[in-house]
Amino acid sequence: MNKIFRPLVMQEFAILIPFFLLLLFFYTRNEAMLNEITIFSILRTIAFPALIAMGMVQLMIAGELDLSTGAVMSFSAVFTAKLIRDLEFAVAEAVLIALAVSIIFGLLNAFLTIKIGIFSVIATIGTGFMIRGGSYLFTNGLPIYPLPESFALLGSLRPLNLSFTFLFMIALTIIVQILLRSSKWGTALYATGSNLKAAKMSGINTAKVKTICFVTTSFLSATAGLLTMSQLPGTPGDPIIGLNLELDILAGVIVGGVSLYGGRGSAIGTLIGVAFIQLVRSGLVIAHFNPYLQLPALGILLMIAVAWDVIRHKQRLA
Amino acid sequence: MKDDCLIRVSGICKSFGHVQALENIDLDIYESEIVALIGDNGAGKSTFIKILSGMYKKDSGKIYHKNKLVEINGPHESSEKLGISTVYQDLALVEVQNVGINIFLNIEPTRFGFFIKYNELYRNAEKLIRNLKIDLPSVKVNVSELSGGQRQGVAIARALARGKNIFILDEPTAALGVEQQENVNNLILRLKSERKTVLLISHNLDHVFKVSDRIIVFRRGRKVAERRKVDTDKQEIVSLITGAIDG
Repeated sequence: MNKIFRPLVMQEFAILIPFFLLLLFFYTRNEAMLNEITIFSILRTIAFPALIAMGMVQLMIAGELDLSTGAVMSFSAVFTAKLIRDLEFAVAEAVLIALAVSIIFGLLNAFLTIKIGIFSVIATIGTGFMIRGGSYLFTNGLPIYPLPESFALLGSLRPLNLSFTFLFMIALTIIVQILLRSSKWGTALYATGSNLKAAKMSGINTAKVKTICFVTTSFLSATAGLLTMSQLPGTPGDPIIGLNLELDILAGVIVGGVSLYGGRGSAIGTLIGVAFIQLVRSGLVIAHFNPYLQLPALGILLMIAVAWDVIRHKQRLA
Repeated sequence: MKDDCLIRVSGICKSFGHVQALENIDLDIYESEIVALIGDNGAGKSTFIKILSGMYKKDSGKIYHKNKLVEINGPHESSEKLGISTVYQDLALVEVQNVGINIFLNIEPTRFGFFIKYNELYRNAEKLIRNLKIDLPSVKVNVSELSGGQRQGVAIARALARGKNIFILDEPTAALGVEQQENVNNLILRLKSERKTVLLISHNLDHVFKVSDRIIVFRRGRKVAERRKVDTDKQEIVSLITGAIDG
């Protein structure tokens, strides 16, 4: 167990301090910050971006990133809704088809980045536009409903008053953390992101590693989209699902300690980073600040995290 | 071909566009010897070792391993078919990982083929490091914290961990201080004592004359001379490199 958690102590400790200080600050502005309803609400909000971030963290450790996640989230939701309502597919069939399509999106991102050689940030912005555009085309910009109540079977579960999605995300975080620190997959990821040549020379199929990461990220994005629709009976398939969420996810992953240069990061740090982003968003509102402060605050937080990453990288090179 | 001839190359040619990087290279490499490949910049040394290590494909010529003709189509095949492990000048180590993980990267001892047995990994790493007499504080130290000489040792240990018998070392003493160069020399001699074969590229004639058994001189893509160390001296080698004398 030490091998999994010991290396975290320094990195995540650094993120937790400002996290709790900020939480305390918001609490001093409004005691409702720490009441049960607020906390559970924030935890439910964290679940969706954190779920996707568990794919993104692996991808970024391997040295790439994906900005099409919000779009895939949206597409999976509307595509599934369309299959169920208009083409009369069974819920399970529609879900499987949507997940299969997400895998294709992941393979497309991998192809453009690895085979063609386009920088992943550009490639996935492009595919994101394409996929989000597809969502709007499917729906003419309108939500698709009604959906059968059975669709909400999983997502509306509330064990321990926490959403199924949240508990699923926690379980996934633990699994990813164990994989990163204790498995050949983890060492292959860190090597691929840190020194591509060393990884290849050691026989690691770096193209395969990155492809799996792209596919996983897309798959988790689609899963998040389906679970969003599944939260409450009657939630429609809406093309605006996941709008701009990829930026929150990216910010959360970077604040959580993942390096833009690849080769560094952890699942638990990512979870804390995503929680930090949601804390800023929710806390500003609950603490009676102007809600328009959210974007500038997140921008500043992101710049501090990136600057810290750049400084660390330069120190390593020196 | 002599019985202990590990690798024979015959008529190797390679060009890049109009540039003839290698022309009709013939040479033999024998078991348990240290062969130094020297020459000026652009002589073709790096191109030659990249062909042997599978990074480049030769245009023509033949490569034999223990009398068997082989074709090398990539680094993995070079390792499998020729038993070659290459340590490039930049060492290609994963800075963010520790010594143990670097040594056994992608060949870690595992449970169920997936979960790494770290105790066994570090134990094996310590054994390798001890056998090579590399001075390290611990195998759990990150590579980024090591000196140049220590990193060279880790790179060689990594090559050794893969159980190969032929080592290609590209400028192993470049940018190292005197003491560290001496450590690398001792390391190379220890490889020979373990019946490993070393093909060494170096501009450092002191280093070459300390460790090698045979010296092969390249000039402008051709092999111009081959000498046993005991039959030559630095002056002759320099003259062969510059073309002042013919081989």
